[in-house]
This record gives sequence, C-alpha cells and structure tokens, in this order.
Amino acid sequence: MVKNEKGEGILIKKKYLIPLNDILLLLLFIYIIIYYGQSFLNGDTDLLWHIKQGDWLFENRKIVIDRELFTYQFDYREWIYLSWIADIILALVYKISEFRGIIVFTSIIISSYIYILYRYVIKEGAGIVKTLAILIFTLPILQMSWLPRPYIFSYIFMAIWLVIVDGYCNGNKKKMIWVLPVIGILWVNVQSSFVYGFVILGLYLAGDFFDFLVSGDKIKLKNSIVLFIIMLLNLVTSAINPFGLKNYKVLFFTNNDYMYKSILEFASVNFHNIGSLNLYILFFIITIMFFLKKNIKTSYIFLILFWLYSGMEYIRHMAIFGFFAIAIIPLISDYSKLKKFMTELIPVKIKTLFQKWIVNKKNIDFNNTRFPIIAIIGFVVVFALTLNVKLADKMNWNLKPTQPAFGMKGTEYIKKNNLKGRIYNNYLYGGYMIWEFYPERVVFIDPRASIYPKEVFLDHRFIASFSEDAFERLDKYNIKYLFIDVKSNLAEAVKIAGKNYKEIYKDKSSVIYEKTGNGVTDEKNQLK
Amino acid sequence: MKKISLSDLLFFFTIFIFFTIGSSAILNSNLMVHIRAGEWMIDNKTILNHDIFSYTFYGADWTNMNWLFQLISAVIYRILGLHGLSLLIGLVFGLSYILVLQNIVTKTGNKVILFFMFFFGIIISTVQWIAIPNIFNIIFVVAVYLALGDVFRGKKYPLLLIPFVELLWVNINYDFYFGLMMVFIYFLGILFEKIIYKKNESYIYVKKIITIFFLSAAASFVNPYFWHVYTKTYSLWAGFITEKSNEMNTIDFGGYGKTALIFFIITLFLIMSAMRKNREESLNVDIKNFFIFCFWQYNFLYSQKYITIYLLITIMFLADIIGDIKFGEKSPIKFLEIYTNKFSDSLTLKKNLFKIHKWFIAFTLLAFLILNNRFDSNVNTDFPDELLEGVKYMKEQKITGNGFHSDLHGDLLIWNNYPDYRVFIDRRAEFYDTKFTSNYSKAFLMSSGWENIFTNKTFNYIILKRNIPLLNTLKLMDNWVKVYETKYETILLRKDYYETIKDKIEIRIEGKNDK
Repeated sequence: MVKNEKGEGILIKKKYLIPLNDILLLLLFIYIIIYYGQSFLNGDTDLLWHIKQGDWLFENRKIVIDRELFTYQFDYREWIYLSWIADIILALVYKISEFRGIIVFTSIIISSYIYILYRYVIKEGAGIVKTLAILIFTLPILQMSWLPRPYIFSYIFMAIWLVIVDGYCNGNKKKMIWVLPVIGILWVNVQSSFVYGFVILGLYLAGDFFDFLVSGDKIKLKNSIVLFIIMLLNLVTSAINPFGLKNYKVLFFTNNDYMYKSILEFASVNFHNIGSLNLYILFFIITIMFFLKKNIKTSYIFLILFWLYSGMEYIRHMAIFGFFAIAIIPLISDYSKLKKFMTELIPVKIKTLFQKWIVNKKNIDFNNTRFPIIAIIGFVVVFALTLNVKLADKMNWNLKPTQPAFGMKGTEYIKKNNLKGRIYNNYLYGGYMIWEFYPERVVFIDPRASIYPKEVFLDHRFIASFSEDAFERLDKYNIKYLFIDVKSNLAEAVKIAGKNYKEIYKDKSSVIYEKTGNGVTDEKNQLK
Repeated sequence: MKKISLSDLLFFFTIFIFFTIGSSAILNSNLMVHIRAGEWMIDNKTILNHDIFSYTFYGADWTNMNWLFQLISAVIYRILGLHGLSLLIGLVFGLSYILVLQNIVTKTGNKVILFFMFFFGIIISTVQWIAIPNIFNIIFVVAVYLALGDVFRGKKYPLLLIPFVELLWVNINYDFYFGLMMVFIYFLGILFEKIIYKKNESYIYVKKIITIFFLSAAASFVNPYFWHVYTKTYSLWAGFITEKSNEMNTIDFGGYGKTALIFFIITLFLIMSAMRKNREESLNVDIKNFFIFCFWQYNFLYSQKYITIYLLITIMFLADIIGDIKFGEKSPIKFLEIYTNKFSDSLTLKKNLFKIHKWFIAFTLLAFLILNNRFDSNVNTDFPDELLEGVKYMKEQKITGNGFHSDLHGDLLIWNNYPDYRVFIDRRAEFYDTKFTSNYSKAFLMSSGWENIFTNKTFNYIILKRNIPLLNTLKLMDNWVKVYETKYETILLRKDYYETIKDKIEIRIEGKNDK
C-alpha cells in the first residue's frame, strides 16, 4: 500500500502501480513509434537484405553464410560477417509480425537503451528535470542512428557496458565488471561494433590512469589495472565467433578507404545539413564553461570528447556522441547557477509561478509517485488506436518501405515484365531488389559494401558517376539493362549519348535502359 | 656573449614566418583575375566597376569590393612578380601570428600549453596560406579583437584603430561586416556582464564601444559603392548559402581538416580541465571574449573559410582561461609540474632566455632563407601548371568565338589570353548572378536540364579537365570534335566550326600530332 502526502493510505497495492519514471520512458517509446516508426523502414535498404539473410541462416540452421546469395559477381567470397544473431532475430520478428513488428521491436530497443542510461544517471545523483531536458535536447542527434539493423543492438550493449564500467570506477557493484567478457561473447556475434566495448574500457582506463598520474590516487591505479585485465579477457572472449580472431584483421588491417569515401554515413559531419548540431556544440561549450562540476572524472572528459571527435569525423558516430552526451552531461553539469539567475531576472509574478511550478517541483519523487497500471494500459491502448487510425489513414502509414529512392516501382516493372539479362543497378536499389527478387534473381551491387571486391565497387562508382570509361566498364559485365537513378550522371549521359541504349521504363525516381547494340550478353549469363 | 630575450626571439620568429610563408604560399587561380583587374586600373587610372573579362556579362556593373586588393596586387606584381604576392601573404600571416604570440606571452596562463597550441595552430593554418583577398580577414579580426581587449587594459588609442581597419576592410573584401559584428558582440558581452554578473568594470566603457561601433559603421560607407556594399553582401550571403560555394562548405574533418578537429577537441579538453579545477573562478571569465570565441567557433564549424581565424581567436581565448599546471602532492609526475611551470615563467617578455648571441640567430635565419627560398623557381599555384598549356594551345591555334569551360579555366583564360579572349565564367563568385551560376553548376554537374545550356548557346569550343562526367558525355556526341587532349584536360570544337578551321589547326592528342 502507498501513502499520499498527508500520510493517508491509498488502497491500491504497489505492484499495480507504475512509477512516474517508467511512465516517462513509456511516453518516449510511444513518441518514437509515432514520429520515427515509418522512417525506420525508409532510411535505407539494409533491413531488407538483413532479413533475407537471417531467414536463410535460420532455415538452413547455420551461423555462417557459405555461399553467395544475392549477387552475380562471384559464387562465394569469404566475408567476415558477425551479425548473424541480429539477422536471425530480425528475420524472426518479421516472420511473426512483419514490418509492424520490426517497428515496435526497434522502438523497444531504442527506448530500452535510453531507459538504462536515464535510470543510471538519475541513480548517480543527476536531477530528473535536468536529465530529461538534456535527453530531449539530444534526441535529434541520437535519432540519426535509429534504423532497424544490427547496429542498433550495439547501443544496448554500450549502455550495459557504460553502467557496469562506470559503476566499477565509482566503487559500486565492483564484481559486475567480470561479467563484461561474457557479455562480450554475445556482442561480438551480434555486430562488429563490439570494438566500441574496448573503446569504452580504454577510455575509462586512460581517464583513471591520468587521474592517478595527476593526483597519485592509488585506487585509480588499481582501477586502471583491473580495466586492463578486463580488456585482455574481452579480447580472448571476442574470439568466440564464427571467424575467430580473423575479424580483427578485417577491422584494423584492411584498407577500405575506397569504400568508406563513397558511403554517406562514413563522411565527416556537414554542419550545413545539420545546423542544429552546431547549436548543440555551442550548448556543450556553454555548459563546460559555466556549469561544469568541480573535480569531475577525467574518464568522463575522455569519453565525451572522444565520441565528439569520432562523430565529427564519421557522421555514423555522431549518434554515439549523443548517447554519451545523455549519460555524461547530466553527471558533469550543475545548472543551479542558471536557476538562480532565472529566478533573479524574471519579473516577480512569473518568478512566483516559476518557483511554484518548476523550482519547487524538484521534490517530486519520480520513483514513488506512482500511477495505476491499468490506467496506463488504457492510455496506451487508446493512444495506439488513435495512432493506427490517424497514421494509417491520414499519413499513409503503410507499414512497409515507401521511399521512392529505393527504386520500388522500377523493381516492380522488372518483375512484372520478367526482364531477362544482367542488370546494372543503383547501389541502394540493390537492397530492395534482393527483397523482391531473391532467390530468383541476383544483383550487380547492393548495400553490403564490404562483401564486394574493390574492383567491382570502384567500377560501380565510376559507372554511376560516368567519370571514367563508364561504357567500357559496363561491357566488362555483359550488362543488358541499366536500372539507375533518373537523376544520376549515367542516366543523363545515356539519355544524350547512349546510342546503344533504349529507354524502356521511367518514373520520377528511376529509369531502365535496355542495351540494344553490340555486346548483349547471352542467355546463359543472364540468371544465376 | 649576450643573452637574447623573448622579444628578440619573437622578432626573429616573425621574419622566419614571413619568409617561410612567402616561399610556400599558394597562389589561387582567382588571384590572376585580380591582378589583371588591378593592371587595368593602373593603366586606366580609375576603379574598375564594370565587367571586362566575360562575354556573358561584358560591360555589366561590377560591385568590385576587392578593388584595393587588386590594385595592391597589381602594383606588387609589376614590381616583384608573383613572388612578391607570395611575400604579401607571408606578411599578412606573419603579422597576425606575431600579434597573437605577443598577446599570449603577456598572459599568466601556462606558456608550455599555450605555445604548443600556438605552433599547432600555425601548422594547421598552413592550409590557408593561399593568396586570396579573404586572408586579410585574419589580420583584421586579430586587430579588432586585440583593440577591443586593450580598452579594458586602459589603452585608449587601439580602439580608434577599429574604424580605420573597417575602412580598409570594406575596400578589400566583402567580409567587412565581421568587424562590426565583433564590436556588437562585445557590446552584448558588456551588457551580459552587467545584468547577470552585476559587473561594472566593463560597463563604464559601454559608451566608447557604442561610439566605436557607429564610427566603424560610418567608415564602412567610405567606399566606391557607398551603401550598396551592404545590399551586395546580403545578396552574396543568400546566394552563397543556397549555392553552397566550396569555400563556405564545412571543412572535411575526415580528410585535410583532421588536424583542425584535433585542435578543436584539445581546446575543449583544456577548457574542461581548467573549469573543473577552477569552477568558482569561472565567474571571472571574460564573457565578452567568450562570446567572440563562440561566434568564431560557430563560423569555423559552419565553413572552412574561417579555420585560421578560429585558431588564432581560440589561442588568445585560452590564454585567458588556463592557469598553471597543478598536480597532487602524491602525484608520481610531480617533477613535470615543477619544470613546466618554471619553464613557463621563464617565457615572459623581456626576460633573458638563452646564452646565444643575437647575430648567431640572425645568421642561422639568413642561411635558412638562402637554402629554402624559391625565388629562382616557380611559385606554387592551386592548379597544375600543365593546365595552362590548354589555353596557350587555344591562343596559338587561334581558336576564336565563345566557349564553355569551368570557372578555373575561366581564370586561366583571363590570365593567359586576356584581352584576346572573353570567358563564359570565372571564379569571381561575387560578380555572376545566382541564376547564372546555378545554370552553370547544373550543366557542370549534369543535373536535370543540363543540356539546355548547350542548346540555348552556341559554343565554338569546350575546354574542361579530363574525365569529368560532362566531358565524357559531350565526347560521345556527334557534334563535337576532339582537337586537344593531355592527361589533364581536353578541348572539343563544335563540328561545323571545326570544319571551317580544320586545315589550319594542329590536332594534339596525347603525343599524337596530326596536321
């Protein structure tokens, strides 16, 4: 039984009540589904081939793909691919509940890692209002990684990692640190970004060692040594994957610059496209200038600055900076000066209101202010129904990819007309073609960039941009059809000067040309 | 043997920087157009305010806000040649660096850290050692920043420098409004200190700052175009932002901007390290300088154009906030604290440093200059020398009429072939209107409707860098004939025009010579 402010008992058992903290996160979950649900399916076509691949692994009861499934470029090529568990999970979720399930599942993952961070930060003494404000302010940055693909699982692992390592360094639940190498086994089999675990450990190690050097505090030295041992153990356990230690060779000793340079998420941040990021950095600067707590740990500084550096170098990592900003900024900042300033500066009437509604509300106990669970469930059901009606009818929420840039209509045309012959396709279309055609038809290229030999990848780039011997390169592959972006250089060049090509299909997004002159491939090569 | 002082060393350092940049600065192709414009002004004894270079806008009004830079460039070019312009860049950068260095040695912050940041900043800023009018922004910004700071150190005259700087600035390039903005931001900083921190020390200067703001604003009207400079600047900004001109792009932090990113992160680390130690002292941070620092940081992240300004402003800002290194009593590296702080103390102006004779340093510098100067070699340009061969070929073969080319080739045509040739476009981004440049970009990048430019205009020739998609496409078309090709560039002639001169022209394609 819980008591109200007057001390009177309320006749509802505590287990039927839900804390305010959890409600906030539940609202976040709903918010994510409403505002980002559809975008999960339209960000890129990676989800589609991951599902197909997971399906194959599940059906064949395998953890390694021992043949090439989707392209005609080669029969088999060893591909150090670690996301087999994630692919199987995505495939199963799709099998059970299609894209609707994928959206809900992704939203659960996202809200879970935010929830883990939020609860930890509150537990460590950061104020709830401050933490929530920073969380809301950081969401647009965090949102940059919200796509249903194996990478999203890494955020859950990072949250667990952060909580355990930080707890250890703060002297809480110290034994938990020895669990990390075990969790590491799961991580390495879910996504190749398991290396982020090493980065987190390394930054805490470096931070504590730095603190030891500066202060001479022996506990910090001990922490560093233990973290070093954990890193070594983690290195050993990370070899428990289908490829053993080979994955390190690919991660650190393979030069993939040619590939990264042409993939948007590996480009450096462009502040013209994300103007709010510049403002966010300004907010960060103001925070560290005026609201930084005294004697904060160096590991916090290292963590947040490392990921800011990494995020500015590769846009893909900017969301990780957001992740650490949610966790670290509330812990290192103290905005009480700002509160004082606002209460001093604001006119008396507003001031009274402000104090009444905001300042004094700091005493709300978010854990013990509880609401009946049945009311929350009712609220969610009503909300979900509204959501279905509103979004399905008014916002055309079809619960399937609707992005024209995936080349969906063109793909349908190919299917309907049963075009026979090798197709040169746009990189992004590859994912959708796999979704529609596998196992009947295979593609020139698809977003599994690292599986393709350098030569094929560069040929594709030169052909698409029409920059170097494009037609000669096309002839090398016995291409009969070009299925390309209608605005690409190649499409423009073929339109004006491609005498041997005839346009057979065109929509707002894509165009299909058929080769009519010499060099048409023979039937044998047309299908795998 | 006499000891040398830090101020002596600074003097030598200035000379060193001056000649180092002077011998390695890169001459931008656009500088060639500025020189030609300056020469026209010398010859005609009037300011050039109409177009003389293009056939697309020949005779049109040109709000030539770089006229003073062009005049200076042309005078230097006529006296000292292109090397003289390299030296001019050296002078601008050298002076800016030395002003910053002199500022930081007067501060109490740890000099080892500050010097590290200073030299690191110089290394990063080498990417901007390019001869363009915008580099004058660097010296002007540093001068305004220091002059504003000097007011609060009790100096009267530096503040009067600001209107004078503004006067020069408005006649050199279109970024003159940055001076006014800095004064305004300073004014906001004073108000902020007064309202939030209840500080009166700065507020007593508020009238002076307002006066200087209006004097500077008045000075900005002293130019050949009076108030039009403001409307022109506004339209430029609107155009630049929509067109996303290259110099306004965000720096590539994964490529050549990586060192600038490291500098940025180290700056944040130093601020965080200083503030976690002296949280209470953060109240004493100069808000005015902090605002200016934020302003330039924002600009730096937005556009690569402001790298050097950000670096220099940051170094001066850091000098205000970082203190001495302090380690705990039990620290195993306590000795580092003692040595570093001691060394930092010794790096104070007028304190004798080393037992080295001044003349020894002077001779070493001289030897360095003799060994490194490039006065007998070619100057560095931002384009391969081989690109000039194409425009020379055109002149040699008497290829006439209007043509299509990139803005870079426009510069080269003006440089080598003016006044015989007029160009389609060149790199005077501020001259060509947005619609025209937008159509040009569309054609160049082969965006939808790109072919219209070739159907609406009759070009006799096309000269472009080799292997760009547009050229590859045009080469496949029947109405163009390739007459010149090296590994750098290609020239195509319109078929019917080619027919009229084919007996007189020498086709030159990668070693293959046909008469």
